Amino acid sequence: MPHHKTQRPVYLNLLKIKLPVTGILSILHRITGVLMVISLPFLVYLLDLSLRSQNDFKSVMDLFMHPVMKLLLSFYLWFLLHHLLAGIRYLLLDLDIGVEKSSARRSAFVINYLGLLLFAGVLYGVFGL
Amino acid sequence: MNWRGDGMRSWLIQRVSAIFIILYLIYLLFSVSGFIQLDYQNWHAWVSLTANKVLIVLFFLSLLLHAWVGIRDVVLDYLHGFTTRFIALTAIIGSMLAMAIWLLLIIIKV
Repeated sequence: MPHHKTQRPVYLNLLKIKLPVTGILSILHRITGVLMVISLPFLVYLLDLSLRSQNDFKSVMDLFMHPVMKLLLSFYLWFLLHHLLAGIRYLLLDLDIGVEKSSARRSAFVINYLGLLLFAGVLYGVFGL
Repeated sequence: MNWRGDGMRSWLIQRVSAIFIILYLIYLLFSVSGFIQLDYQNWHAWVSLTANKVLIVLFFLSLLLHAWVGIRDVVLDYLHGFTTRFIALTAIIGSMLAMAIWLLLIIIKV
């Protein structure tokens, strides 16, 4: 390793790093993906329960009605929509659609805010906040 | 060691599985919103259809493949060293295989 490289200041204050709007979209795509993977065993368990009997189905429905669960589900919808839209954006970029810097920034901006907007809308609808 | 395998293949798996996941979610949403009432009978009857069982299993396998490609990229970006990566990736693949078998057992029982 060249000597001068070791002399560089290491400055990784995460609060001082300003991500561009496309970077925010990208890291959210990652985080939402990981969170949804972690949720998989719980979803399989709920599927199992929902198919066992009338009573078990009802307990799944009751669980969804719980305020804490409603909040978690609202977050989940946000994660899913962001991951979905950002994913479709990547598919379109693969097809050379929206690759120019200005349109790539615009689509990232719109998707980031659409996710937040949906989350706010769901919170309003579910809790009347 | 080349953990990523064939990059082109991973790229393709990620996109094909993504499209299948989207189509399945649209189908699920349309089906469930077509129920007269969201109750156990309608839900159980819908899952009982052979075509839907096949689609559910295909959907879950696509989901696991999609998750595997994504999670592997995350692990390789943030975890370093052979042992760490080996333990993390083995644990992930193990849990994913376990979930695949679990889902199969659930669907076969219905």
